[in-house]
Amino acid sequence: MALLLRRTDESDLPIEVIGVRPDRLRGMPPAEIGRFPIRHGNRTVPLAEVFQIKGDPSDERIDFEGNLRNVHRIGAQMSAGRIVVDGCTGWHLAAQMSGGTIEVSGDAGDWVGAEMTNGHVSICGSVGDLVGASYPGSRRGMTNGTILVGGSAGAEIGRSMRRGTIAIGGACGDHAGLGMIAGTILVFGSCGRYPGAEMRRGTIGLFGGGPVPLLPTFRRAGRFRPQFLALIERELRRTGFAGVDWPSGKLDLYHGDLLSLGKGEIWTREGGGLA
Amino acid sequence: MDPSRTVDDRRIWPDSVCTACGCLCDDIVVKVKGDRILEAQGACSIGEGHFLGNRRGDGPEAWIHGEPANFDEAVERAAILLAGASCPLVIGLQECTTEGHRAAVELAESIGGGLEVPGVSATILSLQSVGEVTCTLGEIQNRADFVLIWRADPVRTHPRLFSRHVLEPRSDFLPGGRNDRFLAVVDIRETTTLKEADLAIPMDEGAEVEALWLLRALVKGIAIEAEQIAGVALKDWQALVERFRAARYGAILYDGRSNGLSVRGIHSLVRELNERTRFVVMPLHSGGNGVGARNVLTWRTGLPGAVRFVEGQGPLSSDAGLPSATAADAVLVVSGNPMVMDNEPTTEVRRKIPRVLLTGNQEPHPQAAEVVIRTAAFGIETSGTVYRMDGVPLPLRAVVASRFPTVEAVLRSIEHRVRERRA
Ligand code: SF4
Repeated sequence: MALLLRRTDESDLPIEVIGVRPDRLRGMPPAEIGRFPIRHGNRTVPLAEVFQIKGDPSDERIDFEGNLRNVHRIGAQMSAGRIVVDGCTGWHLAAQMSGGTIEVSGDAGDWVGAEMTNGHVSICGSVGDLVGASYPGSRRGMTNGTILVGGSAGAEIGRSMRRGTIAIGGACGDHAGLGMIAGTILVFGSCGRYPGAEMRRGTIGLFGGGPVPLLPTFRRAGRFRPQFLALIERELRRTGFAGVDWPSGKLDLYHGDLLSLGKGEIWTREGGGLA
Repeated sequence: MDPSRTVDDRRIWPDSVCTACGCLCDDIVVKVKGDRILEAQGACSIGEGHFLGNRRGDGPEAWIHGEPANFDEAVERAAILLAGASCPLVIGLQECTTEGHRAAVELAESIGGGLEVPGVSATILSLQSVGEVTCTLGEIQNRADFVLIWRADPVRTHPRLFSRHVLEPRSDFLPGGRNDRFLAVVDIRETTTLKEADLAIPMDEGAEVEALWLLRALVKGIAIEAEQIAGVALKDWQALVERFRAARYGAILYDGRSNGLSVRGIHSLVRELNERTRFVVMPLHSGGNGVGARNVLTWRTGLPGAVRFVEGQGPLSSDAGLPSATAADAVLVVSGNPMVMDNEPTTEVRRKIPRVLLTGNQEPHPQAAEVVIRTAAFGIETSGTVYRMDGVPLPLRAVVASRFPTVEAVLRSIEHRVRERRA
């Protein structure tokens, strides 16, 4: 049976559910779960003050329901198990997680999967800025795992990411893959300005069609049908990333950012050209 | 020590600091009669307006819900509001001495709130990733034989910058003053500064980042296949890069309000130029003491732009923390224009939030906030420490007395009441 946490009030104050994760609560008696400390504004309160609690997390699953827009850090640092969110969540969903799965039926805020080291996150709606990114002052963003977003994403997705996959079904904001070290970012909608700025290695697929706003430090490298595409398509379809239009023909390839090693690849639909 | 002297019925203050722009000129001679400033010798027209425009504030010392109130009532009301909030936020802090900033940090800590200096986080975020090669204005004054102004118009916004620091001064290294220095200006408009340049590059609007990336590539010797970038021919950009190379000591100055990738690009360019020759970078900040706020926050909490205090925890970063501004349930605006917040996207959310405003404005709007408390005017009626845009602290002296307390005193009174209520 899963542990069900239902939020009943409508206050806008930020709530941070640090530590409310299957690997941490498993085996805890119900009373202790009710007393588990979470942050509400500038106070620490017991979990039961904010959420109605039902069931138990013995099967390593936690379900969140109710008004969760201002509930932050759901699944942060989680290492195993499953979290299912019915609705929209706040910031830092799945941040620094190292294993397990998180599914969200609505939207999520900024910093989804920031610095995650492994695991699987899928969000049906749209997300904010800095998906899979590095925190300020830190050298690396996500180092492994998968983040799938059905809707659109904000700016600086995959900033300084080291490995792993981010797939965005809709559009993305400016500076996708800023300072990326390696890994894969796929965007199926339009893309904001300067994707791949200062990227070292890694792959960015911009499949929205139309001209792409690249920096002058990217160089055209040819037109191919890359082999990795079929593999990644199969893999993402298997994990439930559906409803996007995968490019079928050849793709245009650009290399860059020449300022920082230049081994990164940006793939666009054939003949889309540069903005 | 009071350095002022009295001649006839006038009081003369030598070496006063002007806070009207980030230059913080500290050589102004202010002449005062009673509580009126008659003259600000040495100041530019902006500085003169700043000094001569000061009037003694009339009317009540505070308002609660638009009704006149006395200071103690207003402080009590502010304390109740802030101490009772679950997520209070302290914001503003531009027009405030370092002593006031310190009091603001302490108040934020005692109410368990957030503290934000608006408009600095973009710069800080990129500084944290690429760093900053910088210096004092004195060093530029003595050594810089090449100056690039990147998208800024200091001739208009910082009128004495060129004459005091950047272009005209003569030194042992640059005995010819202006003649020994080369001025390059890149901008999107025909600015006054652009007209003074030895090399002027007017580029397309919105293409700054492309231009910076191109310059970085040219500096690194990477070949670029384009005839023009940002509306400027490649050979013109190359001419600028030649000037970079010829410099013995270069300085790049840019608008302190620039954001995101541009700041990162400028700072990276400077870092890369240092592989060949000495180059420094400096943002041109506007007036007030925003630089001081950043310094105080850093030395008190380790976090320069935004911080939040939570019960039982140390200060937490809110640059990457939470959307604190949208979530606040009480806001204290410290010595700023109450409209500060209206420029930001979270206005709708914030408007409904109860506010306390501390203001040195001579005619504040009684209904600008639930509680409005008047303070001595910053820069003219307050003594304390202020930071110049290059991070050099300067002593500020009140040249006229005020009827109203300083920001620091008000903040300390509020904090005192908060603590009494808790006890
Ligand atoms: S340059 Fe700036 S600091 Fe100097 S007098 Fe003018 S306004 Fe004041």
